[in-house]
Amino acid sequence: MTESPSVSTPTASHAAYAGGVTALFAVTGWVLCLIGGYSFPEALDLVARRSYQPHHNFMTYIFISGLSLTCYLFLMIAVTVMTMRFAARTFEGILKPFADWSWAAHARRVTVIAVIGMFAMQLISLHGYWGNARQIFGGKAGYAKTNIQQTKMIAEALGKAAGHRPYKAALVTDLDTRDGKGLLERHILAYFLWPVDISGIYQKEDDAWIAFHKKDAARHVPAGYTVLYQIDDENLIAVVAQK
Amino acid sequence: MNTFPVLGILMLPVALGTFLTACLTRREPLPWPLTVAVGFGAGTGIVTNFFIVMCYLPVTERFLWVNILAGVTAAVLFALCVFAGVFRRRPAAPSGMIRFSTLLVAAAVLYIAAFIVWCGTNIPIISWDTFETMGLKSKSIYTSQSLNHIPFRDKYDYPLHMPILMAWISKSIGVWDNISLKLIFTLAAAAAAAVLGYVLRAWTSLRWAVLGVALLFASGFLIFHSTIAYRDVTMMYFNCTTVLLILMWQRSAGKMTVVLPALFAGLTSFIKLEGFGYMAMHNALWLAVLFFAKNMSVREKVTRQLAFTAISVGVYLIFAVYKWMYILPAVPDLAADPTHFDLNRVALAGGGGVGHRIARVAWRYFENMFLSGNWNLVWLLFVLSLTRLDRIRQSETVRFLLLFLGMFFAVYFFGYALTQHFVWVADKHDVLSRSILHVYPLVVAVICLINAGDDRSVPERGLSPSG
Repeated sequence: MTESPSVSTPTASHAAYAGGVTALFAVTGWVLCLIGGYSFPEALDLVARRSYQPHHNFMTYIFISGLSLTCYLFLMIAVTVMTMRFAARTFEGILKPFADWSWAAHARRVTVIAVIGMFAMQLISLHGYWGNARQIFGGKAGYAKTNIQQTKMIAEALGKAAGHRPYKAALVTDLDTRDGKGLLERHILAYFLWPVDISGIYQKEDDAWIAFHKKDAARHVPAGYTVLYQIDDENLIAVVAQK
Repeated sequence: MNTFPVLGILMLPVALGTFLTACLTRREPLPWPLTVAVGFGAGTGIVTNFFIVMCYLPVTERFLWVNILAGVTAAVLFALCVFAGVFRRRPAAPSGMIRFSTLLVAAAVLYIAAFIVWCGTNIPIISWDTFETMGLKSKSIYTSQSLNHIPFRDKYDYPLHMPILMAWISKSIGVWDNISLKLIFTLAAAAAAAVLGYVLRAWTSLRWAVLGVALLFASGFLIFHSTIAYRDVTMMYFNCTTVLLILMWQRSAGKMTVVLPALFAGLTSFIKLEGFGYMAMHNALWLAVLFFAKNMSVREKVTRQLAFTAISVGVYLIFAVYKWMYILPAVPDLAADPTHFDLNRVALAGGGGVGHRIARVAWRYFENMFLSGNWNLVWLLFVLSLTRLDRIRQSETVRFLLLFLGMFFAVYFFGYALTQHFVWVADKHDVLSRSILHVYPLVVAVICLINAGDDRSVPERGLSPSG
């Protein structure tokens, strides 16, 4: 008996295998949603929206009922592999697309399809992220719509008042600059102020004094300094008075 | 926006590196896109090392001298290329049928590439590390044209390739641009993808090359790092290019140059502190490649090992000597600095609980590789690919790649578990993802090389058609 071309051609068999795996993923996903009390379309939508959550140190996956999405994916892969292995043995002789029918071979093929599926979800999520990024950074906006803008403007105004000269400045602030957001604010200020130095880089005595988010800044200016420029009540630069 | 001026000035190191790569590979020519992708790293690395060399000398306009030196070197290398006829002997990319599924995957990769380029040309520097260390250091180099301020910054012992490159670009185009400077990070990602793609193209097929690049960008973590001003994608590019160059040499049966992989191994040490460790691993990999090389006398093996080590360590010493002579002695309270990252200060963590620390680090690795959103399901695919022992037995290249990955994981795992660096993985996510990123393309290469045989029998061959 000759095999039907529609079954024996690799493309058709690959497509049939991929279709079977995708259908099994959908069924197992739906069952998992039923067990957890979630709506399957809503869960898919959540995965599509949040598969790309960028972070410079660690990208957290979606957590559902306290478990990472990958745990559910592993379960779906395991169920699919077992089913495909069973199907392959049952329909042996009808569908022979691959030379290797081992557990590991099924696991590799199913995982490849899962990777493609997650890749597609990631693309959808990335598309949404790009849309948001365009709203913030599009049209050469630079920092204008970010929370860095205020510190940048303060730093640039103070730096301009200092004539971009290499002053070594003492920094006074009400922010907690030891950690977290306050520390980042300090780093951003130092970056945009340069060549005015607030980080103790220049090896000389302080010759400037900068108030940054310091209430009633003018009252705190040390003796011997004259205010060069005051932006508002909280932000100013003073330099050592000329003798 | 200074996108075009930045691209324009980058032509100088890219040309320098491309001509150098073309010259060095004249006996075993690489395809042009791969030559340029390798040339990007070689050229930018040489330019930043030129700056270090200038810092030893009592000159003031150091960036001007760097440009003169780079320009003259590029011209000399160009002339050598012309005389040697290397421009006429590039192999053409092999042609073949492109399947619709491959085109579909390529379209997805191009979409991601467009996203990365858009981020590289529109989003300014906004990341913590760039403001904290690299950016400010770079600005101080930009304004002073020296490394005089480095001892007085935090993390004074960090290698300075990226800060110097950013300062050099800014000085050369005459302005500090917070957006356009990020192009160098985008280009590093593009170069890494090009190197991986072309190597897989030569070692497997076009289909697997496209799939390999798609698997590379299946990692959301890599995509994000390609869009921000962190050094890890650049580190990944230098580290993986070195390993792939070593394996190109191995597959060419010694016909390719020793200089190029050795140069890259040395330059790897100039990106991040970890680079020194990677350079040591590159030397170990080179030793293993030579040890198993057939048709080579012991004398030849010794000579080539010495050449590799001398070149890589020589490049490393350009900055290391400067650091030991001028930077570290000027650091205030050097001995009392408790958070010093220098590899020289790695010490075994005292006290008990070693078992607990090993279990904790193992869990952290598992969590990162299998339960995070960093890598898609690529690590699972990698583990499943390793079940094909017959393919691993057939391919020497895969075995060398696994050897390198084994060294990488062993060093990091025990480094975190047994030393004071445990703190970085115990309760934080600061370092693990980024260190894994440094070898991620090699993981993709292993997956592709092992599974490529599904399509056809893939004989072990070099990059050129003759190889």
